[in-house]
Amino acid sequence: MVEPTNQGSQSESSVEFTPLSAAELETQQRSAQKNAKRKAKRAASGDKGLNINSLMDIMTILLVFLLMTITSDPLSVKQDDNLLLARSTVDYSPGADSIPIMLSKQHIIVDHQAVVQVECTLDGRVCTNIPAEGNTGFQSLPEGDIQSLNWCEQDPVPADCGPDVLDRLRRVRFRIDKSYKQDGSDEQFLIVPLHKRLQQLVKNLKEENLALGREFKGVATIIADRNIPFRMLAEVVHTAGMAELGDIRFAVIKTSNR
Amino acid sequence: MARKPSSRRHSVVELDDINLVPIMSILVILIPMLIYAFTFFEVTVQSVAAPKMGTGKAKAKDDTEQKKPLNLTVLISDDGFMLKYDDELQGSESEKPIKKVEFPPDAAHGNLPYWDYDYPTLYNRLSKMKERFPTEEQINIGAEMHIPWQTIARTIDASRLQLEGTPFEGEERMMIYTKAKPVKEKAKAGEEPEPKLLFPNVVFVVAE
Repeated sequence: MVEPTNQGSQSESSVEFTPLSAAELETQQRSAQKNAKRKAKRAASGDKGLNINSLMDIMTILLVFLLMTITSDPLSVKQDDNLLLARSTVDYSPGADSIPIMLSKQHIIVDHQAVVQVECTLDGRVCTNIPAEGNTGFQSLPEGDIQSLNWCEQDPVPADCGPDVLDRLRRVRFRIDKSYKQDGSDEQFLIVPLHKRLQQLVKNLKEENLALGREFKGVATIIADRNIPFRMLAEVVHTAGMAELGDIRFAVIKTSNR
Repeated sequence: MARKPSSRRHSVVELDDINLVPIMSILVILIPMLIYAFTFFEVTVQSVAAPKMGTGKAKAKDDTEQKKPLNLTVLISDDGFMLKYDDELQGSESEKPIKKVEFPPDAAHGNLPYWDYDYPTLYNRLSKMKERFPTEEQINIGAEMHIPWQTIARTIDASRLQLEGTPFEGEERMMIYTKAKPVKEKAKAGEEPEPKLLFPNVVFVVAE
């Protein structure tokens, strides 16, 4: 490029141009060639300058939000056909240091391990459990007893849950077999395998707290399906109490309507 | 003599744009995984004391207390609620049962009339009990063995906090009751007002 040198004169005719040396000319030609190559490459790749910086910002914020929310939730509850929580207006937050005991329609699960099987009967026979195929869900009253029970508990109640259907579903019974109970008796409240497992966990927790210089609080959080009967709840609470878990809390989904 | 052009670069070094494609790939996989694990509802907890076997009679917490505990008990059956308590003067009392009733149609029940426990009337009775015994905070809840947890949770809801708009009467009482807000106590400066409690300490009782 020829650089004008203006020595203070206002008129065009007084601008002087100093010619460049061969080396300077070569450098300028080389950089012009590079720019031309870059432009050609960009044009060839069809890059119209899509700016994904904004998308990156959104993704980063979303990622940080999800990570913070998930790590701060002490009870990660995944609801499905066998575990639908009851709804309540209570608003006490779950504590971080508690032993979760899950009471689903099929098992009692402690520390991600099923310890006791729950029996489901309807009019003397075993309840049927027929999940929806794929991820389509149900569009009308399902065939399975467990799924029908969940279907008719929706808000609003579906039209195909008539009085006959509701009457039949009211006869569904959940119970724990006497073989799991103390002395093999139906009358007993202590569930032996659950008691043993809770005792193990309490022992580990006490050792951990002792090592960390913390006080053992004996808190258990029961994550129960909404259809679990009072008898089973009482049995589990009694068993937890016998395993030195005196502070029992029930997990519910917070709702504004009573 | 012409000098050889310097091999040092004279142009400004231009850095290529960072390749964001691998980072975007990671995010596109990670974010759906986290959304799948995310729970879109809030889980809260309700404290309950271990079940007492029998009729739920409790000793006074402090042996030096002269006052006999109220032993307010709500028993849930298929037909409805039964309220019992121990009055110092009159001994054990049992109120008239609160039977299940048919409520008028509403949107939540497919615009059809429906049968349900009379939670508004239960709340009205408990509210009157609280006026008579303002220091009492414990309530015993018992139920027939097959009563589901959701019914017990709603009963605890009816006994926990004082609500605005009491008493709940008339055919529309269920609709008004379900949307009623808790009464808040006057808060001190700089603090949020706390809801007024009814019987917040719940104890399960099992009849032998």
